[in-house]
Amino acid sequence: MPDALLRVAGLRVAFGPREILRGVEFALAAGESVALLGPNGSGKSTCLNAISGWIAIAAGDVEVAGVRTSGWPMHRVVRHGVVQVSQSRDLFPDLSVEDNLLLGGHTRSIAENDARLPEMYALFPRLDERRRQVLRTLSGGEQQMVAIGRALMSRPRLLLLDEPSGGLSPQLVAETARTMTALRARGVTMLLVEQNLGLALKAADRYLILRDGLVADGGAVSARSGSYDDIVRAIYL
Amino acid sequence: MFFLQLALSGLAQGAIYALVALSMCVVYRATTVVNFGHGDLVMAGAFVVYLLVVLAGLPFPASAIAAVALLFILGALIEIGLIERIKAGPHIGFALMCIAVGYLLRGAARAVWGREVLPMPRVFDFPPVMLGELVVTADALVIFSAVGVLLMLFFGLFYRTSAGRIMQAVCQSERGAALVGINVRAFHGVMWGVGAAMGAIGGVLVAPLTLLHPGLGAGFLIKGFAAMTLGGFGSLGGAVAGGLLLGVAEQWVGGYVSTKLIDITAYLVIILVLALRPSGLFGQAVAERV
Repeated sequence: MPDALLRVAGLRVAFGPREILRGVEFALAAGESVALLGPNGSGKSTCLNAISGWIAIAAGDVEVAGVRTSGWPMHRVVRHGVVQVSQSRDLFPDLSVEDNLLLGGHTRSIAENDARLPEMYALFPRLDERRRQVLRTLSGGEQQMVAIGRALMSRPRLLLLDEPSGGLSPQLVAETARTMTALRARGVTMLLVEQNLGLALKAADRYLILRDGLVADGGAVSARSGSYDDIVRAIYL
Repeated sequence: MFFLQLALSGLAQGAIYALVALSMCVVYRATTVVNFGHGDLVMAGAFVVYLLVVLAGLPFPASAIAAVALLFILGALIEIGLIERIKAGPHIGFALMCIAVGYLLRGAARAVWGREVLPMPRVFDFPPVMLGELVVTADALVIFSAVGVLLMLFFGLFYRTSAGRIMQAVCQSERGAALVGINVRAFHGVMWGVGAAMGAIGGVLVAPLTLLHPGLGAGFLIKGFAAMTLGGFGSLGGAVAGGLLLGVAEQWVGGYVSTKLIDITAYLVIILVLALRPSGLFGQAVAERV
């Protein structure tokens, strides 16, 4: 991929003696949405955490927009335009919805945030109704909306989403799916880790399958013509 | 009238406790580290002022500003150079490191002055103000004004500005803060500096009113803990309220029971609050939806 926005090469991550990622290689073009699939423990979230700078890598390279970001602390990676929505969301529970969103854009100017905030409320009308509400009083689904909105406030080049449907009711999963589709339609470049295969493939142009810390398979979602049985087989068998 | 006069004296003393407790609380909220050496930073602030005023002959306001600035730098250096390095280790390591740094400061002061008690010339030397039959001393007036302005500045900054929003954010979720691009490590250093500087202001204010000695910080540490416990551990407003209440309680106990009990009031407060209402007066159970 000559004009890759994200390039991951030979990525290795170990927790103590256990090697979680053993040389992961892939690339993402700008505007592309890619789902990272795989069984539990295959290293999907570790891969996102390594790209975002939250965990240290043992070897390999991560390059974003032609700049090597591996080894950078997370705040520097964020300022370079790579923003993660973590599995635990990591929001600010005692601040209002609006303050949470504004903090997402704190690296941007006040004018940029003023312009961006109405866009977020248009994307998530429910948050508009609750903009003054303290975050901890929101439902899990609403908090997920804040987490995604907060990440989008800084206009990231690349959005990393870790299990956006995790812990949500089926109704809220459907709502999350709509959000993902809307983001994809807006051309947001996304790398998505998701256990819900239906949601993942609806939101993605391409999928990659991680197995035992390596990319084992992958391809275009459109080539599957609605039947994902072989992807399920590739993941679990 | 005696009751009110005692309360007034207590509030002046309590304002210093409030400042010390708030400064400890700032460090605790920002970094989850309880600084067991904080009292010695207060002592260091007082001693730096003494050095600059008495030995270097500088005017008190300039000495006060220099002491606070110096303690800001010292606080930040302690965090960046010592605390940050042991972040991955067990939490007890923070406590031991803080105690060691505190005793090091105390030991350094003892190495120079031994067990000498140092008097500083009076700075706030103007006649007391009468409020009806109540007497407000010059010292009390200066402390009320200085602490009042400082608290308004601090809470205004913390709750009303975008810099304060960032401070609140890191206090609530470090990972969340990193996820929005905040340099959490640098922030910790700054907040230790802010905590040490605020503690130093307490030391600077008491320096002209009390006899200085290297063990001065131990009392402030326990008063700070008592105020934090009374107000609700981790609550910024609670630390201030706890400090004021502790100051008043000490005076009432001294005035109506025995002056010998003033020094143990803080210990009694800690024991009673923890036994009867561990969340403190202003602490509350947090409700969270999942």
